[in-house]
Amino acid sequence: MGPMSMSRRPRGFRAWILVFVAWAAFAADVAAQRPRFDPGQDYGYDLAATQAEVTAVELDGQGFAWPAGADAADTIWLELGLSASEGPAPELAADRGGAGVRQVFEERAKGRRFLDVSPLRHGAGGRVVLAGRGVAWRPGPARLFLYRNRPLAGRRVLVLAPHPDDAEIAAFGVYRHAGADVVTVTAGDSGWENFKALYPETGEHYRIKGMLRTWNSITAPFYGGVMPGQARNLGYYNGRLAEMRLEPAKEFPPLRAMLEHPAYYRRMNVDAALRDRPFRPAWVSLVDDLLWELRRVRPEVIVTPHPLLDSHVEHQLTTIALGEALARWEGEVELYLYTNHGMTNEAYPLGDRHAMTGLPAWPGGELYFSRLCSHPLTPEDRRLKLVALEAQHDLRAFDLRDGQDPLPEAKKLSLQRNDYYRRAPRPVELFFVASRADVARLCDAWLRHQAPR
Amino acid sequence: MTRRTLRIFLCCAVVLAAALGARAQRPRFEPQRDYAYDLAATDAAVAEVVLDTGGFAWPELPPGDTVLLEVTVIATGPDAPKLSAARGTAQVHQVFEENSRGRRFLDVSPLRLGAGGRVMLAAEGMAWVEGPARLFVYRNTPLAGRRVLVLAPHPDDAEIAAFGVYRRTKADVVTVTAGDAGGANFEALWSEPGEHFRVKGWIRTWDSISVPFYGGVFPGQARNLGYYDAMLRPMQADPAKAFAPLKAKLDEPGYYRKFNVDPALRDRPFASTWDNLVADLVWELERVRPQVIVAPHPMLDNHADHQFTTIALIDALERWPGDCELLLYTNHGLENEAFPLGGRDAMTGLPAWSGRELFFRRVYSHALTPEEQRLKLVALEAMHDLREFDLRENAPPILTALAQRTREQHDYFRRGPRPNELFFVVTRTDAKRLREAFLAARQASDRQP
Repeated sequence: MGPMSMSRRPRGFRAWILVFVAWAAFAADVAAQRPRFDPGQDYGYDLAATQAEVTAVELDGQGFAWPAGADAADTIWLELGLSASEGPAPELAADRGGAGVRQVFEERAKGRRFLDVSPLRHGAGGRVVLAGRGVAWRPGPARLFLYRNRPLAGRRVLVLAPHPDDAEIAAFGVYRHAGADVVTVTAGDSGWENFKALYPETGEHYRIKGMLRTWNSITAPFYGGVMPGQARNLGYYNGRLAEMRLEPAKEFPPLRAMLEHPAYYRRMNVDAALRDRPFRPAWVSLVDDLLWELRRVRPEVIVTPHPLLDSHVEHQLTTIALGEALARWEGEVELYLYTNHGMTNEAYPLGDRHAMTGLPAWPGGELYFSRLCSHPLTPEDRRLKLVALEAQHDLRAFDLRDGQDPLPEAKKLSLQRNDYYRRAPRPVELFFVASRADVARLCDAWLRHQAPR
Repeated sequence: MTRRTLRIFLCCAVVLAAALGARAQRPRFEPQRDYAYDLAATDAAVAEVVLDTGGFAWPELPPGDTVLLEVTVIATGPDAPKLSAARGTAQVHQVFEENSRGRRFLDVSPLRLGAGGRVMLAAEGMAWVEGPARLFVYRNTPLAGRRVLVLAPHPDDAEIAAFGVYRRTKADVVTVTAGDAGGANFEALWSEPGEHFRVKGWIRTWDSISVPFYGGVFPGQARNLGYYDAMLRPMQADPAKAFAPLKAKLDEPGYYRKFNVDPALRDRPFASTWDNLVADLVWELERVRPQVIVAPHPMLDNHADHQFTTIALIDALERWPGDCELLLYTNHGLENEAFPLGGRDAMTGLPAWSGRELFFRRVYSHALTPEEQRLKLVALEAMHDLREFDLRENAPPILTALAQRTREQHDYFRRGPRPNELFFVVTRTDAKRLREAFLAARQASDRQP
């Protein structure tokens, strides 16, 4: 808004200033904590160093020839050079005889990118037609990376979620498809004041918020076929994991919630064994609980956040705690690592919910994975995933229809870019597949990255 | 016209048609009439008081939990009349029909906890008739410690009627139908009707099993029998016949029942017949051995599924000898769908009634604490059929003035979380008479052209 309108509509302008200040404070806060990806940069992934079969293709002005044999892979990425020309959402589409994908890249993207073309394996014909909107690709030699993952169906899967809703955002399709135990670490008893209209007192508000979200974490997996009991919540406190790790034996009270009893959230479990298991809000206890879960579930696959790609410290620490538990557990297991808060771009995945998830922006550096897995979701999976997301109290507006706006301005602004209804129910869920050995190295790397205190 | 505007327009048209249809079927309370309750004929202790310009003297009352003041209300303006009563720090207010003129009942039960001998009355948009008046005092057996079974025709009815009761008593909550009919809430995701209503019933079945948690009732103790929405009345008319769902396309008849957390119910064979429903209710009675059963009042509640839920229950009681009483509720006031009137902080009051015998012995006004009211609102908002399914894809839904008004009048966020939940207490014996009278009246009205 220019100075002209400022003089004409001073009151509106003041409101805009307030909104801007709130946004700027929020943005500065976020920016201070995490690196920002420069869209003129290459994505730093070196997929040739992973367990990919690499196939050279030749891009021309219309597309490329689909190599024979590619259909046997489950996850297929096209590495190519892109240059965005205009518009806020440069988009590339690829089509192969009846199968199509779309993916959206950063505004002003220029450099090496990866297009997820996995669904094209179901297409027909030898030719892939590319079409750019607001973006051009560099013709010439390019590479396809082909991954073969073991099918998830029939394997014992454990999905770990730092907070209620993370399991749904990252892996609803996985647990609906393969069945899983879904274990959430914290009650989600922090964050914004969703229920302030009913609970103005802070300690009480966050107690209730944690209660509602704990129950979400236990009941929403039902929409993906996981019953309460198989969905559990360990009942740790949101916003405390970082301090807990630094003083592993010390117990920390909730950040904001006032509880009658430390085990308040854990006791909401439908699963009797966990409900009755003694609770201590300490890091050593969390690691013990994860070990106990490993022994119960005996997972062959563990789905958990990628500590270097996911910017939320509690996401990182969930996997760090798991790493410590894995060091005390023998089972043979693969890890499927996800990114719910893209480190260098919170808006990831970009574009609308029909676009492919894509890889999160990453300027470079070792990520300790062996393969990529694009887990496909059927249209029905995606509809149900949206139902599961809307069922989360933290992802919808708590609107009591009594004339008050249920969303604060800052939340509205954040929803414009970062709405999980847009980000999550995609055609695929993307995982970085890591071996036990990879994860041990990954956790060491994460610890080295921590600034010494 | 965009697709969205069209959809909104169609929704409004459906709401309007439903409202007009409902109006055609049900008597509408004429606000110039008296409420027809004859509380003196019930098990009430009666205390005479004299209303003056400021209120009345609170008499020495026999022990009781529920106190109703019979008072004549005369509306003086266009707005809904509101009457407040305060005794010491305890206070209540209640809202009556626009243009009210006649005998009404003010629920003053919370004033028992006040101090002092004087009740101050204050009116907005109305006057009360001064002179002799009566207080009706009921003494109910306390619910705490008794085995309670809450019966809900649809997912959300248990919460609307009895959240406070089941939170206090840790009741078994049994919902009869999946809620697989009604509005097209999820049309944006499922456009094919058979599929839409299958999913809607599935989502609401889960609501009925998972939401009672907010009142301390875990899945398993909250169960859903998995019958089909809107089919109870035809089922009762042809008790051995299996009926198909009204709108949902299911793979197998027992589809909804299979989602129970309770393994005994999940594995119990399902047939969509009246006989099977009654047998299921007998089975639940044998399991729960309730001393109190909470269910809709078939004469006061307008919805056929609500009425026939209680008729099925009374059929089942014929085959179960346990000593129990019935607490009957009104979620769709027969003569006024907007009941309870006023904001959510107003007392529930009695539903408008100009008809005959209601077969109750006592009235029970169950008090909710402010915390219970808040949690009840949380539970209502958790019900998919009571909140907007907003995927934030476009601008917020634009409601027409009519839809807005319908919502304001009938919103359960307003009607549900009140300071009290109101029940008509009926004995086993009276329940049987109630059933006969209800069915006789039904037959008579069915014979009308």
